[in-house]
Amino acid sequence: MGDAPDDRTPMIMARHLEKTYRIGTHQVHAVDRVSLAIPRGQFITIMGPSGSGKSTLLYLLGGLDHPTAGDIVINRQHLNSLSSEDLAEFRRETIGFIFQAFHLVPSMSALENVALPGIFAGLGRAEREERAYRLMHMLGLDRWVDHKPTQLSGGQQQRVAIARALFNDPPIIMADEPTGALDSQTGEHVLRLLERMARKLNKTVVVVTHDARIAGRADRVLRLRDGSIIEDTKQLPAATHETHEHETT
Amino acid sequence: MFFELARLALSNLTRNRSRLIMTVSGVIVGTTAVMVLLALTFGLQNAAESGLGASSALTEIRLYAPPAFVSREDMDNPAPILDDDTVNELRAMPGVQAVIPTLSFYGSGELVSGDYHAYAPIVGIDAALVPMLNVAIAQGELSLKSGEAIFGGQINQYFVDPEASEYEPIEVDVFAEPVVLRITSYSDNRQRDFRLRPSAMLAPGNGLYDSLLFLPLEDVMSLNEWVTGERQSRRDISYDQAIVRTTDREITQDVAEAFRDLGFYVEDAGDFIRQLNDFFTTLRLVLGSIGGIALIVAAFGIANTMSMAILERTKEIGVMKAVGARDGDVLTVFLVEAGLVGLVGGAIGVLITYGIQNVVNGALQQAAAAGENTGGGGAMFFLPIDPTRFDGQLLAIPPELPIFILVVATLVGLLAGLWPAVRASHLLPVIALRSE
Repeated sequence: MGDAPDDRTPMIMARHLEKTYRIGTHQVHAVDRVSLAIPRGQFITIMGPSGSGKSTLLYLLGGLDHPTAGDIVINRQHLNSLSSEDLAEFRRETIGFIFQAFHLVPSMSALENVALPGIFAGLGRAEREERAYRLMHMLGLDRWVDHKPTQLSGGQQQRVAIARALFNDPPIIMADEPTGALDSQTGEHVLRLLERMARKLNKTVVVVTHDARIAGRADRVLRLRDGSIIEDTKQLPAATHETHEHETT
Repeated sequence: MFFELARLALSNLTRNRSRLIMTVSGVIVGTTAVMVLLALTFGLQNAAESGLGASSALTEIRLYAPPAFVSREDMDNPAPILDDDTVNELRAMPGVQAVIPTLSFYGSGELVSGDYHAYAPIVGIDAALVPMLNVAIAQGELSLKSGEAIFGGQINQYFVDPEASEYEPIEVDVFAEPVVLRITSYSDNRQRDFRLRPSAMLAPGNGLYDSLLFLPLEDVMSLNEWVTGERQSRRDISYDQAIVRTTDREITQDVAEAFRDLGFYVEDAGDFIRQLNDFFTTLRLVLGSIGGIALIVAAFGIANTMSMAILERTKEIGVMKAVGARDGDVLTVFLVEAGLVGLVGGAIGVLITYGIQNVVNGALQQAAAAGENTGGGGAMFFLPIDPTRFDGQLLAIPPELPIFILVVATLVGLLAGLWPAVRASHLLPVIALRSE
């Protein structure tokens, strides 16, 4: 994947995207006619008050939710035309998700959690665990391989989740409030990892957040209110002195 | 891929152990109930069939020539006549070992011994064919000369005193006491006595033979002439019955069918076995259904457990889908989980049933042994059955029964888990992830 030679085609494109919920007789426009294009390798944050539709937008772009109207083209794939089977493959190959609550499977060890996507990719156990171990090593999680999620701190759990998101080497990372459940120090660490994915691994990173610190370091900030984009700011890449080769907790 | 998903299901299964144990227990009770009841029907059937196998009934066919008035009814398809030519033709048919034609005495045969009287159907049989009867003898030897008679195994117990005010069977030793056959003419009610010399007494327990009195064919012909006043020549005799013995019990039904096609009335143990099989099939269905009720209850238990498990793991389903699980993968994981509950419960149920079989059959064997010592029902006197009849196998488990039980238990699990699993597989990831 990620073998597209033409980097000028936007990695993520949405046109007139709408998501409407019906609550009783009331219609709520969670996402209201949103159009956007995100180029490959961009580190973009989506900000806005609670209920502004930023998470809904992220889930739509990630193929976890169906839009009421509008088109989404990701990595040249038109999501509307995908069957549920193809959509599963799309999520597996194209997107790595990171959630605020980590969403690790409590009955599995950290290594098994990281290797979970490999089961659905049809990889054998040895190959899955080898790849998962490599990712955990890269993220400084060697010591926690056999630990269950409940035995890990929030920061460690989120790094396990990040390793899981990277398992299939997807071109896009999507994160929903990745630092929301972390103290500022571990949050900073997670932020650095996200930055590194964009800068070093040329992944397109889309982060929904309240955290002004993340926004400050992103290439671009989208602001949503009532389901619509009200501001789209491009900014110079933040100072890159943060990216160490080796990181510690 | 399936193996990996199955492994996932297996690890999920052990997450809530107490719930798993309770759910599996339901399946265990259900499968044990079904299997024990089915094993009981197999045991009873074996006992019934072994009772049959003890006699020679399984290779025996009784053939009846249709009565004369039937022969006249349909001229295009005349009913067959059982004469010597036909008998020879029947003997040449494949699978036929012996054909013993018999001629019934038309009148009623009253046996008189001193003050005691008895009645017995009398059949004439070619003396040369007597050894072919293939029956055990209690006394005497199996041969028949004019004026001689072979007594069925229980005729000696049929005598009564006609003067007595109450019916009381009296046993007569036909070898020691003189026995005469008293016959009555159709036309003028004249009576005539023939002295019978017993040549043999058959061993009791030979079914239809027990009440018969065998006389030489020529004797029966002359008795018939006397009571009817009509002459009958040995040359164009037509028999009314034949006893046919086949070469093998497996082909008895085929031979019987061939006779039926020829227009004879046929009675074979096959009919009886078929009825017996039908009866036990019905019994199995009824008892299996009763046990099946417990299994249905267990199925609801599985469905409930799976619904709970899916509710608890909704977020996990969302995660699995977010990392690329197809609907089918989620379906597989939960179906395998439900099927495993059924399979494990079924396997334990099968083992328990074998245990129950050991205990029950062991007790029965002991009781049978005790019964042999005391000559009665022994320690199992409270049961209306004779434990010796079961050969210590009241519960019989044919090899395909445990396989059947395992398949059924797994299917019950799969069916019970189907609806929850389908619901889980269709969950929209965003809804699963946001559930609380």
